[in-house]
Amino acid sequence: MGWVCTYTPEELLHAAGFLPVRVIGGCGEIPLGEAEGYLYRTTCSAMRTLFQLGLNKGYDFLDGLVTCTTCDSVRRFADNWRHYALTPFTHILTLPHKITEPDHRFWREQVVELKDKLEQFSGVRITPERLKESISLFNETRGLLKALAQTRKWDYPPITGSELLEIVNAGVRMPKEQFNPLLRQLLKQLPASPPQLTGERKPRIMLGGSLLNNSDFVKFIEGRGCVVVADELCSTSRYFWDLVDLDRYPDPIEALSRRYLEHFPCARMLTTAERDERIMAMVKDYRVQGLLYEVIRYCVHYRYDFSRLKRKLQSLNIPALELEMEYGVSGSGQLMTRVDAFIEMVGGG
Amino acid sequence: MEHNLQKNVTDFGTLDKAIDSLRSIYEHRQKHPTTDDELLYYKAMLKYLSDARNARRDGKLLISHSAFVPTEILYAMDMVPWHNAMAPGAMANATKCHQELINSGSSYGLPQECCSAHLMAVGALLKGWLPPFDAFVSAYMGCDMAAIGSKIQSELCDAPCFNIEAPSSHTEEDLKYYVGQLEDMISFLEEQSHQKLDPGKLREAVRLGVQAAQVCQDIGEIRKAAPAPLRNRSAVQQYLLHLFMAGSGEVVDYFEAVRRGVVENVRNKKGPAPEEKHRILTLFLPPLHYMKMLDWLEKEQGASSVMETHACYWGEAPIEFNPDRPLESLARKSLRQPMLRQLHSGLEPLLDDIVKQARDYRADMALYYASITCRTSPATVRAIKEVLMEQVHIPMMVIDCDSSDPTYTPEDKLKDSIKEFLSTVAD
Repeated sequence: MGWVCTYTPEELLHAAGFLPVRVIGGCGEIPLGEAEGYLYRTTCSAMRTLFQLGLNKGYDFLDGLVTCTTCDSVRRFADNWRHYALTPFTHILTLPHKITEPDHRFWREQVVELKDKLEQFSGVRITPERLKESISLFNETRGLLKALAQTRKWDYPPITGSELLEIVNAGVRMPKEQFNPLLRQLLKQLPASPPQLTGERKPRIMLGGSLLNNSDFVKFIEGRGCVVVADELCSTSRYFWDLVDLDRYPDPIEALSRRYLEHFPCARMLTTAERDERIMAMVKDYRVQGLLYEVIRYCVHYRYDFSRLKRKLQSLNIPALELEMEYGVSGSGQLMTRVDAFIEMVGGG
Repeated sequence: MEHNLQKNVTDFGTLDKAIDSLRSIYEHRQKHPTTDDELLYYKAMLKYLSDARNARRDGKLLISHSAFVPTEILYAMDMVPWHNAMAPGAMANATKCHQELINSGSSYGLPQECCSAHLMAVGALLKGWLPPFDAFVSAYMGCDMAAIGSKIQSELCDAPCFNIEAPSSHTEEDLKYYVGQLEDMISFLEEQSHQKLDPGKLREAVRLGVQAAQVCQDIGEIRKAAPAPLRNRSAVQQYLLHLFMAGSGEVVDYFEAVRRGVVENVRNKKGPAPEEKHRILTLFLPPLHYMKMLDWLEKEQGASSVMETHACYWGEAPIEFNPDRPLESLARKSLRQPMLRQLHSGLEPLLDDIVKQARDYRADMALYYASITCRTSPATVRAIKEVLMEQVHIPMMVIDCDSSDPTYTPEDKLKDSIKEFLSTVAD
């Protein structure tokens, strides 16, 4: 069962007997000619890419697609996906922008509706026990990924930003039952404590933005003389940062819906104070020296968010650079020039 | 660039010029009448801009709001509404300052491909051409930019902003949620004004809002006649006036005048087009700065717009007013308003509506004005074109344009391409 937006409760798909697969595209840019006939040039290239892959039968292995009313582009992508029946099942959750108690109640109803629809489609009853098992499994995945990401606090992070992205890319595609043991093994192989190395330290960069799945792009950035130590991307940290809290909310549906609405907010949410607080905490904890911020062309949420964040970071003397790009790019001459100048500015030239 | 706008430093020159321009049109129409409703439209628009201009002088709170915020609540609370995307556009249309506003909006860092209506709104604010706003209310419904534009503007004005959410489906549970949003909006406004909402005033404003919608539905029914009994430009006027002033008596007077006009035309078996050659289903919004192009279609091409799905269609089910539950009545009505219904409720209901209208209104073609900076609407054109051809067997022309920015497509070019389409279909 495919899913697009990180507000989609992945555990429900699993509890209904599906393998949840994030519909995030392959790596790299693809020609979008046919998709542009269905969507429009102002639909962001991330959604045009995913739709094109659907038209190319790249997602024929899916039984369905679940996503949210994340933004205008995602909404119309999903509407067209459903209309043209690119998968037998499509469901769109209406996602609030605020987090008040009425919003929680509304969102919980959305989650319950998804549960009902998945049960009807799969013929599998999602019992509280089944759902709790899925929650435990996914909590383990997220906990392990977070532990891995936290090693980047070290002076010499044992993994690069591009490696972390590759690992998460695998984790959102393969069964968690197989992914978790591999991840545990990897964590064991890493040094137990920060290695005492000497030598030149590279500038510590944070990545910001929305959907970024091409690890070659991160590799390209790191190849310009910096190390990506933190990110707030929905394809990495925002995906795994928060767990479902069954201790606080014993009802698994309640716990799930709370976690998804309250998790590390994306720029489309109105909870900007919390988003800023989390980002500033990351900047501090990971000793970030500069923010590289990906804006997929035509995305109004992240463009606005960048201008806001940039002002906040300026007060901490942290420079920020917006990289407006098409989805899937791995690096180009223009980007190279801009990234080089930025790295030089933050101290790595 | 750091932007901090100070209150009370408005340069009213452009707004005054827009008001003067509307007054001239109104006076001209008094001397040279076209239709009663058009006269009332200009009168209401004149009042709308003047009320905003003089809100502070009159001791009223001026509330800037985005699309789909129910203005009935503002009228009930004796506040002055300002539609923060379309009203600057109306000001620009009256004074021809579009490019100046777009350039100014771009200086904030908004890209040119941002919705031009919002770009102009931010531009007008940065220029100091808008009156000081006391608060903002925005709605996250079918247009991300509406909410983001409100956020930017409220930050620039250092004024508080409240956001309402709306469900995209309409179950009873969804309705309760939306009613709760409206209650929160009222609480927010009460905090701003330090005054409680008078339930009687709310009841009256909602009654007027619902009445206007009911008359509009009636007009829709009457318009199924041939020849088409309504002027092409009237649909845009209906759309704007409802968006700006729902809950006021002016809107009801206006819609009733429209209804009288179409009833009379149907009775006389005549329409504004001298000879009706084409019956057009109009989709999305024609360029608001080229109203004369709609007249040209009607008068010179014999092309009547028989229905405008996004601007005028409220659906078939009756819209009702329950005096004991005014907020619920308002919620039900608001969720069905044109444009919101089409942008916020998914593709399938929209396609069903369009097919039904094409049949009911005996359209022989459709024109889709694809506003290039809109994120929501143009991503539906392919599906619409296909269902119209497959199910109703009528062609649809997609017109790339910009609803608010006249510099994107020259009027002559638009006319040429439409004329070519009409002649191809006629052949």
